[in-house]
Parts: sequence; structure tokens; C-alpha cells
Amino acid sequence: MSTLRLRGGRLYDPAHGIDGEVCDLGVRDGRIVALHENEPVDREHDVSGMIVMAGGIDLHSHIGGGKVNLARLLLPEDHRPAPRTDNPLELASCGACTPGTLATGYRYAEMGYTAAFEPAMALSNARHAHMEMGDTPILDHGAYVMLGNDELLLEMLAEGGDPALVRDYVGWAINAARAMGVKVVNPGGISAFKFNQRKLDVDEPHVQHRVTPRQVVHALARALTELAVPHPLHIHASNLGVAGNIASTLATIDALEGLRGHLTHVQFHSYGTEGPHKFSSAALALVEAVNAHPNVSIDVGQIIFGQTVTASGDTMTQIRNAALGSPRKWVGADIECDAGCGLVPFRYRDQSYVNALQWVIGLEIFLLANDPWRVVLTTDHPNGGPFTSYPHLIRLLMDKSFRDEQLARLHPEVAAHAALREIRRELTLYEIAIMTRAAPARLLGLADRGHLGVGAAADIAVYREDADREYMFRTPEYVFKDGELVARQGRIVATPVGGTHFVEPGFDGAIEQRIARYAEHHHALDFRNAAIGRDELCTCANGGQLLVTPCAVHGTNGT
Amino acid sequence: MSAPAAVFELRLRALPRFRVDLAGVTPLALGALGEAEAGRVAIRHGNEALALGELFEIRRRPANAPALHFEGDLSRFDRLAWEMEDGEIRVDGPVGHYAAARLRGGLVAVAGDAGGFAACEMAGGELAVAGSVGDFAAAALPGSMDGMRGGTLVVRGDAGARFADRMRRGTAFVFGNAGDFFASRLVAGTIALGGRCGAHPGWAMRRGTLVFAGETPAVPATFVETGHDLRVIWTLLARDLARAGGPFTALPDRRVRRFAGDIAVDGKGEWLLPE
Repeated sequence: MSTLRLRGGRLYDPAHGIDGEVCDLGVRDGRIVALHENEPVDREHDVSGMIVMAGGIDLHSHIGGGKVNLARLLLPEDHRPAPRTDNPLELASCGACTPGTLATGYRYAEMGYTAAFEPAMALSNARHAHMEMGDTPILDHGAYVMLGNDELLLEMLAEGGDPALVRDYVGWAINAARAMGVKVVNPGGISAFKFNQRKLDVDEPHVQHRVTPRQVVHALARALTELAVPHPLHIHASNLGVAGNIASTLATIDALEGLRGHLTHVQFHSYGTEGPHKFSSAALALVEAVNAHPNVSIDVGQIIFGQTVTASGDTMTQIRNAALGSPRKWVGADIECDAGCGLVPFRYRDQSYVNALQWVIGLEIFLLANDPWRVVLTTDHPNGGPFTSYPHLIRLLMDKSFRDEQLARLHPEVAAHAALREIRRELTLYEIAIMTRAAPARLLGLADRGHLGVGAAADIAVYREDADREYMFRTPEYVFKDGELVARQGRIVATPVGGTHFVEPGFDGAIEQRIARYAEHHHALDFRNAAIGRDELCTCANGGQLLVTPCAVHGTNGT
Repeated sequence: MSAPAAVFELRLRALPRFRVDLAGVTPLALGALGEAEAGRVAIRHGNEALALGELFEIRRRPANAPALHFEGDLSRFDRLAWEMEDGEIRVDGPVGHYAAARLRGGLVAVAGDAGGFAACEMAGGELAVAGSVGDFAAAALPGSMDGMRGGTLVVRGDAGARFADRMRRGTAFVFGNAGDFFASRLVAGTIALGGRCGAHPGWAMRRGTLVFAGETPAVPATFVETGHDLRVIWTLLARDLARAGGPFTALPDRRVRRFAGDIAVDGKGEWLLPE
């Protein structure tokens, strides 16, 4: 038994409405407990004056799987300038926008994050994703399996889309891939691309299956509701990056018909067509729709200026972006017609009108949204920028003068006209704690993460108060993972193996016959190897804990 | 205000056990330091940091221009003159990989052989290797779009495979033979070869000039003879290349045929084949 006390810290624990209350925090055997004031403990840290939050949770970060690995292969130069660490605990690993698995774990933990979720796991490549995440130290991890462009689901929908059939198929897929949820990427569009369609609007039929993205979104959202999977359908909407795509985004919200949905990297989906460049911010329209639809949550996908790589399952979009790549190279791939994959290196430039406006749109969404519980802080790592820029992003959100300084450096037309100039709001520590911990935990259904209540996992970040919020969030004084000190003043001091989060919704096993039949005719992989067993997952995940989040009883509504 | 220039003589004490990274050990970087200070400069040896003085006996003497003179077998020393801006480095024996890689200016002279990726992505200055170079000399580092972008590379021995892969400016000489895929994916620049080359010379070259002063290679189907009157340009080019000496001395006296290619890509490159 080991006990720990953090004495005198200022707690920000939005899940319990605690906003900067000074109070001690006790930990026993990796869990938060109520310790008596005089109870002797094994270790005690005086954190008076410091800010104590739960460990950060990134619910959308591309950290594992084929696409991430292809990005590393595409950009070996990203691994060249890595500063060599003198920390003997860190094994060699480097990279900025395509960090190696080890560097991913170290860099996240250093800034107080203790969990990250891979949003785009291909069903047929789930093992690879779990292995890479298992190789990522310290962090707990999980992944959403990509559905909605797989031929079998589209076939089912083309046949009329029997909800029970779709539900069981989705349930099987989540179990087989050991996923935490389901993501749909450009619903039906990646498949349509393979039939030579170059765009697919929400109500436009897939040329082969005659299915629309609206149907795909609704069918998946309904299936997840019936399966009572806690994380709502994770939606990468149609027409990513296209001027005027706010219409598709609003239509996608409409397609949910009140069912829960999580619109991811909405910054890339909030563009209008006004102004001299026929490209404008539709942040207000997006935020109004989100405010009006309590069934909808979002993460932002803020862009950060500089070099990165866009990594997406959305082949239809990436083939369009390939010509904009910098450096000009790209790679696309597909496995088993599951979904797709496209990687295009990209350099966001503050003097580019479009990039500058993208930067502004992301911040406008953060600052206009009125319910932080439905807004998660992300850069869609690495698509908008590497996750290591979160402290910078937090400062932009918390510091109006810093934000204005940055805004003034942008393309002059954007700097002069952006609505962002008039937004005075500065997010509070409480709101940041919601967007980076409490809200993602709640959206994922993680009952014992993202908060500091008794019984929660002792994933804790302690920051030394500093007016420069970027510095403060970059170098937490202490970071604990399951009660173990893993980082001290931005330096890794322990590298435990993280756990794997997943869900196990119930489904009617009869569906397996149909999947097996389909796989036999169309897949290279044997159906009998499709599902990942628990033991195998444990091996894939490097022996880390298997963290099952319960789904409510089969057939009931999980909301 | 510039520091007084100095020549450092660095005599290798013993062959190190692991590979050593010499990045940062340049004439300008050491120039401002005293003998003892230079000996404390940290370099990487395998996975650990080591003081320069532990590997080398260091002598400093004032001079007009900054320079480093290495004595000993440096074949385990990589990234000699990495990103060097100016000054002179001389090595009296062989060196490891990435010699003069990303060189921007100054002179690097190696009396022995150099390993892989010599002069890769070099942008200015000169690398002269009296021995041979490994694969990917004057080429691009893995992942980069461009190889050598300027300056001069002189190899008096042989070159390995993929010599000048993706090179886009500058001049390179190989006195001896070159390996397979000589000047593959060349974007621009001038390369003169004194000996013979391996398979697939000029594969997918877009522009640039290859002068085959030695054995005439078989011309692939994706290169075509142009029949241009080359007398003026050849007089100028041949005279310039002849200054390198060796197999290039007689170039001005030889007549030349011109082939364009690789027409499988851009087709604006040229092979000059002296008769």
C-alpha cells in the first residue's frame, strides 16, 4: 500500500464544481481517497500556491496505426533536428509532427496529459493501432474504429438499412477492434471516391450504393445509441476544408435528428463563402447550431502555424490537398476497402489568407461556444498542428493581449477584419480544465478519469502558477499517473505502461455469419483472425491494464 | 567583431569504441576558444556525451583564417563539417558518414575515403575527397526533396551507388568509377565522370548535365540524340571542367554528342558523350 498527499494546492475539478478551492488531495494505491489531515503518508508534496487538475485527456489525436506510421515514413526529416535528451529514462525517439511512439508518450506526459485517443483506427488494421499505442509509454489510450465507408455497411444501408442488422454489425466491429467508439470519416465519401466521385454532399447519393451521407450518419448514430456506447458517434463531416462547407456541417447535425453526435475538428468544417476570397468564417453559424443542439459536442482542431502533416482517412479530401503539400510529397493507402488513408505534409503560414482565417475560426469557436462541457481542446494532432502546441493554444485562449499580438502578425486582411478582434473573452482555468479534462472524460464515459473525486484514478497534473500560461502548461511541476510521479518540472521521471480503454457492447452474434460470408468473398484477411481477443489485446498493449468502460444494458438509451 | 582566427590541430588519441558525431565542431565554433576550452566541447560518442579533448590531443596556433586539421583515422567520425558555414577542415585520413553534409561554405579536404552521404544536401563551399565516397554522395538525406544544391564536390577515387540522387545545383567530379543509379532523379547541376558507371545512369533525371569523360555508357531508350551544334557551349564547358585535371584534362580536344532525357520524366536533362 502506498499513500501520497498533495498539500495545499488550488484544485480545479469541474466535474465536482470545484473552482480553485485550496485543499489537500490524498492518494492511496493509484486512486484518489479522502485522507485524514494527520494521517501519515509515504510521500507528501507541498503544492501550496500551485494549481491541481486531473491529468489531461486528448480525445482526438492521431497517435497510432498505419496512417501515423506512414506519416513517419513520409517525413524522416521531421526526425532529424530532435534535441537529444540527457535523460537516461528516455529511450531514443524523436519527431515533432510525427513523433515516435515513445516521444509521443514522453511529450504528452511532460505537459500533464495522461490519456490520448486515436480517432481513426481502421477495422482491418486495429492490431497495428493497438500495438503502436501499447508502445506509447505512460499514456492511457484507446481508439475509435472507422465505419461508414466499409462496403458491408453501405451494402446493408443500400438494402434498406435494417437498424437491428446495422446495430449488430457496429457492435461486432467495436468488439472485434477493441474500440472505444466509432468514427465516421466523410460519411460514404471515401467509398464514393473509389467510384470516381470527387465530392459527396450530405444529401448526394453514393454513385454505386445510392446511399447518402445523411443515411450513414443517422444509421451509425442510431446503432451506437442502441448499443449504449458512451462515446457518441465521432463525426468527421463531409466536405472537409471546402469553402462553404458550413452547409454540410449543419446538414450533418440535422441528420442526427436529436441523437448524440460528436463533430470533430469542426474548425475544418466551419467555412463560408463570403468576402473577396470567397472564403470566410462561419464560426458563429456553427456555434449557434451547437448551442441549439445539446445532443452535439465538438472538438475544435485548431491550426497552429508551422510545419505539420495532415493525416486523414479522408482520401477524397487528401487527393485534393496533395497539390498543396509542402514539402510536395504525399502518400495514400487503403486496406480491404475498409476506409482510406491520405497523408499530405503541410506548412500553415500566417501570411496566407486561408491559413490565417483558419487560425481565427478555430479560436472563434472556442471563444463563442457557451457550453465548455461540449467543447474539447484539440489541434487534431497532427492535422492542425502537433499536440505539443497545446500550451501555446491555451495561452491564446486565456490571454486576450497575447492573442491580439498574434492576430496582428497575420495576413493583413484577416488581421483587420476578423470578428476575433472584438471577442474579449478570456477562458478561465476552470474552463480550460473542462475542455482538456472533464469534458473529454464525460464524453468518453470515463467515470473515474478527468476528475479529482474520491475513487478516481490518481492521474493528476500540478502546475506552478505563472502569468505566462504557455510556460505554465508546458512545464507542470508534478505529473502523476495512477498515483506514480511520472514527470517533474517537465522532465520524465518514470515510464509506466499505460492502459487500453475500450467498450464491449452486446450484440446478436448471428451477424457474424454475414460478416464471415462477406469477408470470405472480399477480404484478404481471414475472418477468423478479424477479432482481437482479450489476451491478444493485452499483448498488443504491452501488458498494460485493460480498462473496460461499461455500456448501459443492451437496448437502453445510454444518454 | 570577429574573434582572432586560429588553426586547431586535432590528433586522434585512439580509435573510439563507438561512432562519434562531430556536428558542431567547426572552425568558426572553435575559433573563439582556447586550447583547454576547445577540449571541453561536448560531442556525442555512441549514446553518451564526451569532451572533444578526450578523443583528441588539441593544439591551437594563431593564423589568418580559421581551420581545423585532423590527424588520424576518422572513419568512425560522422558529420564532419556538418552545416559548416566557413573556414577550412583538413583530414589526413578517412572519415565516416555525412562528411560535409549540408555544407554552406568553406573548404573540406579529406585525404582518405569518406563514408555514405558525403556532401549530401551541400549548398556551397567545396569538398575534396582524395579517396572514394560511399553511397548517396551529393544526394538528399532520407526524406528530403533536394540533394546537393550548390558548391563543388571533387572525388578522386570512386563513388558508390546513387551518386547525386536528386541533386539540383552545383558541380561534381568523380575521377574514378560510379555505382548504380549514377545521377538518378537529377534535377539540375553538372556532373563529370572520369571512369565508368553502373546500371541505370541518369535514371529519371529531369534536367542537368552529365559529362561521361571515361567509358561511354550504353544510352537507354529514354534518351535521344539531339543533333545540336554544341561547339560554343562545349568549348566553354570543357575548358572549365579540364581545370579539374585527371581524366578531364583532354576534354577540350574531344568532340561531343548530346543526348536529351530522361524522356520518361521531364526529358530536359542532357548527356554529353565525348568521342
